[in-house]
Amino acid sequence: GASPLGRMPMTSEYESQLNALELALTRTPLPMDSERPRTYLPKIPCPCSPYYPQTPPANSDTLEYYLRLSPETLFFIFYYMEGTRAQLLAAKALKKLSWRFHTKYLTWFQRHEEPKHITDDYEQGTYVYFDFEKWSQRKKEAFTFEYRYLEDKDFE
Amino acid sequence: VGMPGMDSVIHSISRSEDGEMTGKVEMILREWIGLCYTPMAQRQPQEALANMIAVMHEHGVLASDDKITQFFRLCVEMCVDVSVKLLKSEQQGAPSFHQATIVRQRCYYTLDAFVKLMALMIKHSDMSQAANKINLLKKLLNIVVGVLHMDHEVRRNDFNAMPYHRILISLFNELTGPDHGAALEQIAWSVLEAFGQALYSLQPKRVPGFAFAWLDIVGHRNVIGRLLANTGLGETVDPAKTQATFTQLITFHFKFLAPFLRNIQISKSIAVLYKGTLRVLLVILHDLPELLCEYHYVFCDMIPPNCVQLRNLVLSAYPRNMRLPDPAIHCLHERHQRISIYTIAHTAYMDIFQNLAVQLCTEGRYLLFNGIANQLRYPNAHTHYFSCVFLFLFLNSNCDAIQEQITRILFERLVALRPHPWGLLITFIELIKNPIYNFWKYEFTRCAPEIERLFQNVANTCVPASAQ
Repeated sequence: GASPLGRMPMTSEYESQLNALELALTRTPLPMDSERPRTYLPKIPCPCSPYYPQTPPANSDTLEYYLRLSPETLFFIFYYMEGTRAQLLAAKALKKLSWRFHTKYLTWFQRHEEPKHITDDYEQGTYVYFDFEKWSQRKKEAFTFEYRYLEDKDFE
Repeated sequence: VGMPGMDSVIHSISRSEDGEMTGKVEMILREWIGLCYTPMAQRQPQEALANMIAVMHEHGVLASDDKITQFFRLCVEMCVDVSVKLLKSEQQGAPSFHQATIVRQRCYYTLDAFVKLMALMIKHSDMSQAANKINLLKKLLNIVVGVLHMDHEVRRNDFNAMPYHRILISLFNELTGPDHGAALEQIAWSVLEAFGQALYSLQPKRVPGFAFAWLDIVGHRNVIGRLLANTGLGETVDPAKTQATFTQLITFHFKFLAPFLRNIQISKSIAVLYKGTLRVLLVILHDLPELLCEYHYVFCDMIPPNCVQLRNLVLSAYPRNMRLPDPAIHCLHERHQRISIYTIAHTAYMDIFQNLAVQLCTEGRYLLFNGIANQLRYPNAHTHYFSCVFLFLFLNSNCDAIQEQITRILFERLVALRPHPWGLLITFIELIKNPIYNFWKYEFTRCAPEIERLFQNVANTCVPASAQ
């Protein structure tokens, strides 16, 4: 490289700036420093072999992509990535797959069959739900889903 | 000013006052940290704040303006101290990625709670007056900036930017944008201005130890979003003001880098900072090229002439609604254009250019031609005019040094990595394609085999074989 204007004399001010910068280099910011804290899945950066993918596949932040994931994956994202865009997309995908969120039990339900009763306030029948404590899908017979606990916000 | 030793007297007075206050502050801060993570406080932050303010009144920390200032200064110092100690303990132990993350999360726990307290006070404390809110924000930012300056001065080798970085970016996120700004909508611009002011006083020239964190903040997607795209700010904010603010911040960054880049004194830290700069500029070039179009003078003024790629990045910007004609097909000298190498001749302006080109020394000419080349951008009147100036000077100078320097300026910008400004490409293509310039007859095109090869390469990439 060339310096067409010639070099500038390095004053002591520049030297001390450079020193301070060099010291700061050992403590450069991490990406997570400017992100919201993650309770369950903190970022733990580490060297990764170059033959592994270093970045997620293209368009993996779209609803179409989330619709191709298994319900278990979507539940994982929903419960472990709180307050992120990923959680929003997972919730949208689950809704599209006819899961409904129960705001009292904080649990996702899906009709196992046509409900036995449907009124203005509730419906009753056999449901499949996702038990986030046992971490598996279970069946519940004669369950009453009260509509006032139905998450029906249209989030955008 | 004043008696010798006065400073230390004042210092020791404030120290002993601090001593009494420190206990209170620690107690209050601890109580708040416990409170703010409870589900109750998450759901009703205003109520939690009211509880906290009652506690603060009880201990008299809100009694006067001075007390409030002292309280928050001690809070910042305490949060920083906690973080620095934690981070240090991590450095001493065996390095483990997992450990490092846990340590950082513990720092965030304290810092985020403190940020939350500041944000809630600004948003909700019983000040209906917008002016009071903005004054409180300014006061708090001043305190953070002041403690940072002092810390950078005192700790020197041990200075750690992380806690300040986190405090500033989190507070920014809390107070700007669509989900957080309802209480502050009317003063959205003042909030941004206050942060701009704080970043101004923390610029790398003044606090070089904060330079990486500083660029991280200025290049943060939310900061770029609010200042350049005005996302979530509604119509209360004038985009011209926010864009000027952002440009100014980037300018300070260039000012800091310039002497090192000019001297090609690329230590590891400068290289890392330079790479970060490129990234931020690429983001802007991609998302908001109009900013670079509008302020290209300002940017080019700051960038040393040897930083060809940085400048190319700025000069390659063109308005998003414009489609650039293919440089290989575009003909600069279409008859209907009013600007051509014939119409610009024999004018007072051209006299000046010709005189400067002939009479300046090599260095002066280099700067002159650089200045002209800085105008070769997307299709516009400037680009056309200055392209013609170059071609005219090339054609009508009887000393080979001028042709050689024009070629050098164009060439060194073209052998750099992409992007290349459109006007630069068409000027060079015209020069090598149009036989009136007799480009290949000049000796400097064949002065060295590797140069000749490079010329051919560039000629081939610029002009596809079919068009040649």
